[in-house]
Amino acid sequence: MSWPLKPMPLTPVPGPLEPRPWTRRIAGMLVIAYALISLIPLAWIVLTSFRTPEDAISYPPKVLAEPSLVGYVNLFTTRTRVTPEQMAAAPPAQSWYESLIRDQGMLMAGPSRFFDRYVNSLIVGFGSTFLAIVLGTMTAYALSRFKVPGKNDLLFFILSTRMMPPIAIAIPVFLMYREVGLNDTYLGLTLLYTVVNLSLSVWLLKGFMDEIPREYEEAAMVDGYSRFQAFIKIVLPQAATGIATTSIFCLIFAWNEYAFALLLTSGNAQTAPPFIPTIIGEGGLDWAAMAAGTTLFLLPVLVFTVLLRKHLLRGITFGAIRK
Amino acid sequence: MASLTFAAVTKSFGPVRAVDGLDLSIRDGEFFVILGPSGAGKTTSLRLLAGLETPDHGKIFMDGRDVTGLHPAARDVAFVFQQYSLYPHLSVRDNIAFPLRAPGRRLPETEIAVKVAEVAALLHIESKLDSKATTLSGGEMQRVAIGRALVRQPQLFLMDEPLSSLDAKLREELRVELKRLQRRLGTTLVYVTHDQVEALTLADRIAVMEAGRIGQIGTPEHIYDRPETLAVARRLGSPPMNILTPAVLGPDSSHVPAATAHVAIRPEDVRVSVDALTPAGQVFRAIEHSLVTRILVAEQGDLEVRALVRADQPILPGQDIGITFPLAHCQFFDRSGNRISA
Repeated sequence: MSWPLKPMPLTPVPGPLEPRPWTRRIAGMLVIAYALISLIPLAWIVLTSFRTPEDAISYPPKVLAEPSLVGYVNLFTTRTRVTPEQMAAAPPAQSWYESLIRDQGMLMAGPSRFFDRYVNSLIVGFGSTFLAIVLGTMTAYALSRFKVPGKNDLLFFILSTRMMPPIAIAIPVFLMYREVGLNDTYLGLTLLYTVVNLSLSVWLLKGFMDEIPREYEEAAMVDGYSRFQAFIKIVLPQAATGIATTSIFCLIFAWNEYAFALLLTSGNAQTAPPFIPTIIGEGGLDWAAMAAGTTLFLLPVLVFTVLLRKHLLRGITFGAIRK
Repeated sequence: MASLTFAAVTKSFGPVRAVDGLDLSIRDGEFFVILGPSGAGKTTSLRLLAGLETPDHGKIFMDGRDVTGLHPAARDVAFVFQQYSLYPHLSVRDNIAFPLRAPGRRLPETEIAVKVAEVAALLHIESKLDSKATTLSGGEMQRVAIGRALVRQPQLFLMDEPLSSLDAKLREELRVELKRLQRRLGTTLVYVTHDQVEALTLADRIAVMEAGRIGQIGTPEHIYDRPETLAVARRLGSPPMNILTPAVLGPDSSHVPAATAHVAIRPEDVRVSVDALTPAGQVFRAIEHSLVTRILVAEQGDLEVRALVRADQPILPGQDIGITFPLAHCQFFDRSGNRISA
């Protein structure tokens, strides 16, 4: 030991389990780099949607090009190419988007079906998410609280519906739907997505329900509420985090689903995913319009997640507990 | 206000008989404490009263009415839980108002506001009414939980160790407050605890529960002075009662009743003589003695004795002392632990 004793350092020494400052910095840089790399395709799609169809397929690719709304206009309209004489004979353009169309040497023929397909996606996506959550919440509550005969087998059965890729049953589902008249209907697609999502929602929500102490409902029942009222007033608000998380997962699946939508819907109930790739321009695919469709298609899940983020970030803490 | 009766109530969870043939009557307006170790069936008894459990056998009566199969909401009882006491997503005000907004009751909001304010004043939580339940301290939470029970003026209060999660000082404070409240309201209150101090200070009558059965029912004094079994004797008193063999009585041992296997005596009744030269009674060796708690622990072979000793100087560890056990204060129990009436 050296003498005299050296003074104690005043800067706190990090504990053995605390990350060192440089470790933190490296971790931060890695996360940022990963985020940037993940965002590149997304950025490319958004950039492409604001280009002219020519710039969108130019070679070598242009990173920065004159911004243009032609992609969006083409997405929402159908057009016909006309001769210069016909163009001259046409009445003057009524709006900015008609001018944009005429600049391409075409006349607007009418609206495209994109808007309908988008609305279909919203109906089927949110409808099936809503159903999967309502049914899942009640099933999860029952499985979490009551003595159900063969509960574990039942839970395993519910999970096992997810073990096979849904597309494996595409043909039987198609034949069945044709038989009962569910082909190309909102109900058909909504039911299918609900069923696929239900196992996920039951399992996720059961975990959340198990975390909610029974004492809350019991207190509510003693306070004069029926079990169902206690479920609505006490359990549901407690399960908000779980419901938010689960509904985002369900929506993402239903919103992005492509294969069944392609197989089971066509003229009436077709959703956006099978529609977007069919946007055809002149002499090939209209990549700008397709990118515009994709960009718009990304928005709802994003908005939904942002709206629910309060519940997601709150985490699973049940603060009024003293242990 | 209500009187309560358990008639041969049994409740099992799988192979465990939580409550085993319980017969019990609780009088109207009584502060009734069920005391017992964990797993004795105290909480189950309370939950049976609240309707949160249904008995396997037997019946439960409130004011002579059979409530055995009645839903909790229909019983008009208030329950204060040991923990998880408040609805975390509601404010303190909404927590207290929650029972008043129940479908069967549904008071007008103005009346609710008046009642909530009254209860808050009573429990000194006025300043907390608009806080979220999760931001309160443990003591405040339990006050609010008690407030939620008080606000409805129910037939019956049920409290399941409401103070056990609080620190000692707060526990005592709330304990006194609880007793005062119950005196004022005159409502029947059934209180479950494993804390004998709470039981002895709060109760009009105590039921000592052990393994799903009741060991003894009586006033705190009665149970303290005349325990019917060794188990009850051990449960009450701090430091606990000394359980000894007849031999320690020395020459007096000839006076003990026949069949006596155990002699029990409270630490406060044990006489200690520190005179080292001629120690009176049995010779024990001191192990520890505190001038603050005044508790002396001494041993003789396998026997350990606790005594309350008021002294100016501590008895030193290892010192030999004389101990006598006055026959008048001794209680006698047979081999199976039952009291032998003397």
